Amino acid sequence: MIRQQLFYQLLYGVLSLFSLQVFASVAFADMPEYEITIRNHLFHPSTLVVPAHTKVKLVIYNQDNTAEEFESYELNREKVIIGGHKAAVFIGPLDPGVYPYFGEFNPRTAQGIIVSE
Amino acid sequence: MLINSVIIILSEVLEAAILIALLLVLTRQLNMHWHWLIAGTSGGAALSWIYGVFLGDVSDLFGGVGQEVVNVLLQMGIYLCLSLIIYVAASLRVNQVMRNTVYGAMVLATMFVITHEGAEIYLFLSGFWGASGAAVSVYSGAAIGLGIGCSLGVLFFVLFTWVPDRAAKAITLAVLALVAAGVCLQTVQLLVQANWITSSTPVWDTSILVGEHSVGGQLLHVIFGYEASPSGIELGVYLLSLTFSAALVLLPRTIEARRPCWAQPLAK
Repeated sequence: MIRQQLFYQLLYGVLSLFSLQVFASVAFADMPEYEITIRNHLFHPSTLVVPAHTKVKLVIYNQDNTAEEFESYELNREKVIIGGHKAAVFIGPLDPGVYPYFGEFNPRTAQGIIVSE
Repeated sequence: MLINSVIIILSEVLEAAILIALLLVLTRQLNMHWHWLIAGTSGGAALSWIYGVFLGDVSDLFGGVGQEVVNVLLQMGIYLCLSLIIYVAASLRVNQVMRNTVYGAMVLATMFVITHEGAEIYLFLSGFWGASGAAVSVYSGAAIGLGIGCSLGVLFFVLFTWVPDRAAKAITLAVLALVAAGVCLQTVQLLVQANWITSSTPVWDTSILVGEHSVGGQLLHVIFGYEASPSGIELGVYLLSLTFSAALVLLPRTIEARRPCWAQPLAK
């Protein structure tokens, strides 16, 4: 009985912690937005310059008719974008540097870099 | 193209295979039926197909981050199921209700993990449907990747049978707790990606030792949620998750030990 009560109390505590984090979001206004297009399994532009130490919104528009996965180990981002759809990926704040990314479904051709300066 | 296909399918399948292998190990140790696997895999396959078909519309929800939100829900579902399993498996007295709950939790955890991985596999493979040249290499690569992934899962299962019986359950629960912590970590990363949590600078960078690209790094990532450069909040959530799992195991025993001797259950 006590065991059960404690378990539920702990569960409640963890869930509260999770919900606190979810609603402690940052204001979305004034965030620089950049568009990257996927055409014929290639990223356009393949080199994108973004401001350093700033949160940036990437809108990835997949103009092919097959899905592509935007992935980057350096940026720690992974997202599937269906053909003909757009998707939003938030990156940053980034230290100045070069951050490569690739399309996991077509890694040989779909490659690009994000330069933060 | 074949190699790409193998690698992609392998990494997706591996995540599911490791978790399922771990649950099968626990099934063996608790002397439960393994038939939850059938319900879990078939339910998961069906759900992943549905998720894959509707991913485009789902993605557009919540201001473009619908995919992250659904994945977070799936991961949290897995985490709750794993926590429940850890709690019951570590319990001193287990009745039939608790056993049934564990059985249900294993079905759900399997379904959720297969849905998460299966949707990506479905999307990758459906893109090459009808593309005559590439299709053969892509689909054979997928079959090979699936085979390797399942074999690694079996290997993982067999490794656990080598552990001496006395330590077996403790080690299984410890690994399960680590996998659960890895699931929590993935949840945090998804929330950062969706901009629902602010990210912070990495605390350390061990990519010199084990890079995330490497085979070892990928394996460590799948089993333990290894991150070469974790941020403060990722680290915090990982440790919190481990602490919670430890509490699930240790608290009942501490309470039991502190009962006055006249309230202790009679020895069987």
